[in-house]
Amino acid sequence: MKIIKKILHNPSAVAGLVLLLFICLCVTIGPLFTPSVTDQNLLNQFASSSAEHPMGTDEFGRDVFARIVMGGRYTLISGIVSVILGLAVGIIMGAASGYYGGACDYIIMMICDIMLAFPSVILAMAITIVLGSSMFTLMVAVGISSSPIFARLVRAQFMSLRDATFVEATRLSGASDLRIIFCHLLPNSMGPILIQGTLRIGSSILLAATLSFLGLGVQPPTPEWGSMLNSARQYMWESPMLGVWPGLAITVTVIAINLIGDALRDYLDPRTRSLL
Amino acid sequence: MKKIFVLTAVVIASLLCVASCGSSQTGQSTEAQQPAEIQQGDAQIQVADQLVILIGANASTFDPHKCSDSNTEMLNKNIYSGLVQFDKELSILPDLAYEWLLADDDLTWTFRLREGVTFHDGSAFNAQSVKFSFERALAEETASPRRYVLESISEINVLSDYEVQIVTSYPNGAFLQQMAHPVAGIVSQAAVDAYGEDYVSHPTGCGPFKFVEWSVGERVVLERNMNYYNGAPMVEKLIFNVVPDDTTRSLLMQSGEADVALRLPSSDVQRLEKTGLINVISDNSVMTMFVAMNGTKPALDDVRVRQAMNYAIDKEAIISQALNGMATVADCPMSPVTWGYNSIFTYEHNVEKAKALLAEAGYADGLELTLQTAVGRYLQDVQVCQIMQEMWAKAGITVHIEQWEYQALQSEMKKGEFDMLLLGWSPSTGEANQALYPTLHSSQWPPNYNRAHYANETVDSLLLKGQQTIDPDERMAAYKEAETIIMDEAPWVFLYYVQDAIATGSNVEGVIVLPTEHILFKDVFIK
Amino acid sequence: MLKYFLKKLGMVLIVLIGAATCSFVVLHAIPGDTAQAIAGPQATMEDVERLRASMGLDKPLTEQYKSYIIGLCHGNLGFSYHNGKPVWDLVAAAWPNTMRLALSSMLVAILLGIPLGVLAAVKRGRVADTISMVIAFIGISMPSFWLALLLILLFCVNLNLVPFYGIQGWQSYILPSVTLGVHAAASIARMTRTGMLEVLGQDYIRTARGKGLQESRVVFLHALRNAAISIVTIIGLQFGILLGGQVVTETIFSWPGIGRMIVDALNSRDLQIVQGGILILACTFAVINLLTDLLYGILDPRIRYN
Repeated sequence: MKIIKKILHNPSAVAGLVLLLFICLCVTIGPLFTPSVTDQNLLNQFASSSAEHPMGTDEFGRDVFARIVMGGRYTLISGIVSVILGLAVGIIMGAASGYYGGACDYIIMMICDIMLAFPSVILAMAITIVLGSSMFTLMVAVGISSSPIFARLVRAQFMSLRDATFVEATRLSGASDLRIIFCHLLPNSMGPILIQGTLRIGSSILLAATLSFLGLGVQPPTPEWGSMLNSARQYMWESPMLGVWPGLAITVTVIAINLIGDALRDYLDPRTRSLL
Repeated sequence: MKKIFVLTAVVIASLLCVASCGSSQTGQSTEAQQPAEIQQGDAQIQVADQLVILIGANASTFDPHKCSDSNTEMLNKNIYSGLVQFDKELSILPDLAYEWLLADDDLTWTFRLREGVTFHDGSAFNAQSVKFSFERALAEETASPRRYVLESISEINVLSDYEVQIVTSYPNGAFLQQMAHPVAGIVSQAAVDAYGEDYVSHPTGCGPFKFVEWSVGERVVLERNMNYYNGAPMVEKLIFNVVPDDTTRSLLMQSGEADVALRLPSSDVQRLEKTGLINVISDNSVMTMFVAMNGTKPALDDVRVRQAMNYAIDKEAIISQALNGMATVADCPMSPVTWGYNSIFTYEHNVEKAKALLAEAGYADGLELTLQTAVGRYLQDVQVCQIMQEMWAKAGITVHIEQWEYQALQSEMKKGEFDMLLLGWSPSTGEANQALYPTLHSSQWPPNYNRAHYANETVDSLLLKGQQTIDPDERMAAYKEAETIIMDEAPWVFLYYVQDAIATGSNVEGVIVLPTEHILFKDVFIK
Repeated sequence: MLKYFLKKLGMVLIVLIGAATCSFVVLHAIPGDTAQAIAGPQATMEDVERLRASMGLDKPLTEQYKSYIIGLCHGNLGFSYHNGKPVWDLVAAAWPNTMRLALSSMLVAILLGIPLGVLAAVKRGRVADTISMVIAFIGISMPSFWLALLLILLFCVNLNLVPFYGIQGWQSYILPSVTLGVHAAASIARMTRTGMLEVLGQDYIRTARGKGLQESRVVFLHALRNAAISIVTIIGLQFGILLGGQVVTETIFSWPGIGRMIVDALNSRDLQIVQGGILILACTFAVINLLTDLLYGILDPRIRYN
């Protein structure tokens, strides 16, 4: 309860939550009210904003507003799922590394360093090309590129908590390693993990949009904001607004998520809590 | 504290030094030259300093025997000359050979060569150069990707300094067109011997332009060959700038920063023409776009289904909406500018007929198929697929589109397990054998290029006849018959022929655009 | 100090060899046949096989890997399959362009970010703070390629002010640097603000103010210097992220750098170039991290005296 009260006092957090709720609402209910995303009307290409088409039409005469609203689903889902994937992989790596230490730690951190030595876009590109282009592989690629960051985080947390008294006590009472890791160490590390996770949703959305922009990712006619930006590039003359709407949508969504992430960090991170 | 700032300054300074080392690639800095004035007929045309041309992709290699992409072949066509050459209608004109005869055995060709021609490095061109060049192209060690163009050659004999004899292993009706192909460009033996592996950095031919400089990924510079036997070109330098982005190319043309731009997006063509400062040359190329339907798959093995697939598509709509009108509806498996073309017929847009045919074949309840396409490989490929998906849906055919990265698709195609593929085919020799044989002869099933798995004995023998007959009328008759059968049996959804558009400044004249996507600058001048 | 440096250097070398191996494995796992890619879409299968043999691509993978690693140790990055030029030459031509863009973007980021962060920290809680942070926020949330498109739309398409393709003199640096720099500037601004706020709350700042020092001296001479540690860390971090983001920016602006070289080579399956490019980028990344670590070690007295 204290958390909620504290958060509600933070104006940027409130703004972020409201924005995100609004986006989620649009994205879940919106498609029920808008025209079909795939209906092509080749006689009405590049129409400008009107009552019927609030954001105009694209190169196939499809309603842009409908595609943006529908595309939000893919964007949000891919952002969340890829972070969950990254968390899963990262937590396993970081837990093993931080808890067992020694050679295990060395090898896993070496792998993380190697993964971090690649620019994330290139790593994700290579994975997408190997696995083939689809929504799912996009999420896997983006998830894998953020896993070393989570791994490092979890490892740092575990290493500082590993020798705490309560852990020793649990060990003495005969708990197995797995139990200690998942029931005791992990819950106590949730703070930074939550913060980083929320913030990574934003950067995952950006990375996914970048990959779609480069042509890897979802199949047509799926409306995904990044690939919509990519097609808009060709039509900058006919319809400059085509390039504005998807980018605006991405920016607004990431802003909302970052606001929430920031608020979480302000609350949970003891160093910055004093600055509130 | 001071130490820290000194250290930081040192670090930043060293980073800056490192960054400014290395070849500095500043923009084109051409010194102003005094244009020479030459009397040309009645008009006095000045030799222009330079011509800036925008191309969409990096050059690959200037060794014509190792080159396989049409972009670089276009460059090579301006550096090297061959025995014969194409004109705009793809008829054969003399180049380094001024005369040729075919013996009665239909296998022995004798070429009489021009005298007094020199390579860019000064060495003399003669029959020995021809023999050297072709033998190099055919050699195992060269591993030429275009070797198939010359594979009919069985021996080359030097009869005298300016007479060379080439013997083919079978009567080859397409022989002269193959001799006009970029792989048949003559290279300087002296240069190859001198540079060996490094020859790619010193390409030497006898063409209208000499190689000067190549910054990979940025620019290729050629300069005019003053000793070109047809008269030196009227432009001092050709500067090819690599601009991969279509929109950027047209914007640069508009701002006047470039004189010629290749491969413009169709949406920009009309806009550029309206400005009045730019001429757009657009014409049919040899590229035919089609959907190959795998004839070994259930449903697609029935000719009625395949015809229905054709009837369901409104090709005019695709052309006007996705391609801004820059294409022509296909009425033959090859484009009108290819030798061997005959106008057979078009499958008009008729959804009712499509449905009727499907019902006849037993698919009244509809059909489900997958279409695989590369992304960005062909103009508007993804968009065209999406439009066709909608059209087929109206006829009760549900098509799923699979987008592939082009190279991955190449490997996948070889397995031959697909339903349908969106493809383009441009016969590099501009004639019927290359247009039909690899794509429709039964011996060329995947992993080769007959992706429709088409097999028809009559067509097979007709194609073979066309390949191995010299008499053009006989060849044409054979091809016409084959094309009629092919159109009837519809192994493909015949879509359209692509029109290539290049933009030139309104003061640029004399650019020769060949339908084989090669562009010649030897006659260019600036008004 | 020396031991710290050597240890870090050792790590860097191991990471680089690991990166080279990883990229070798991944690139050969990518579907798509290099020999077919080079032979083109009309070559016969015999021609493709002949080409494959001439490039040594028909040898078993382990042999290819061995010759690659041995070559690396001799400084040989291999040859481009497409044009036969040594990869080292191609990389050496593209790298300075990438680094120049990265440095100018970093300059933009520092020039925009630090003053913004300082302003926000000093005017904490007031309008200037809120506005600065809102700007910074938008900066980190925007996709950089969208910013690039907007800038091109505004300055080139409509106003025709600056060039936006290739390198044509110093004007060409403007748009790409701004595109890349904005995101980094935003992060730097936020970090600067946080760092400054931490420092400004310390006792010695209060002492300096109590002594009657001018506010500007307090802020710049004392506070900023002490906040430098976290600022330098974030600059180093952002540089790495910048290098990654350059791939897309180089594509949009047709910038002849390593990022674009890698993407082009990836599309044509010229694997040697891709490996060479990735290795150089990883190298640069590692060196920058090393320098940042070093700088951190020097700046933070706690590490220096340990």
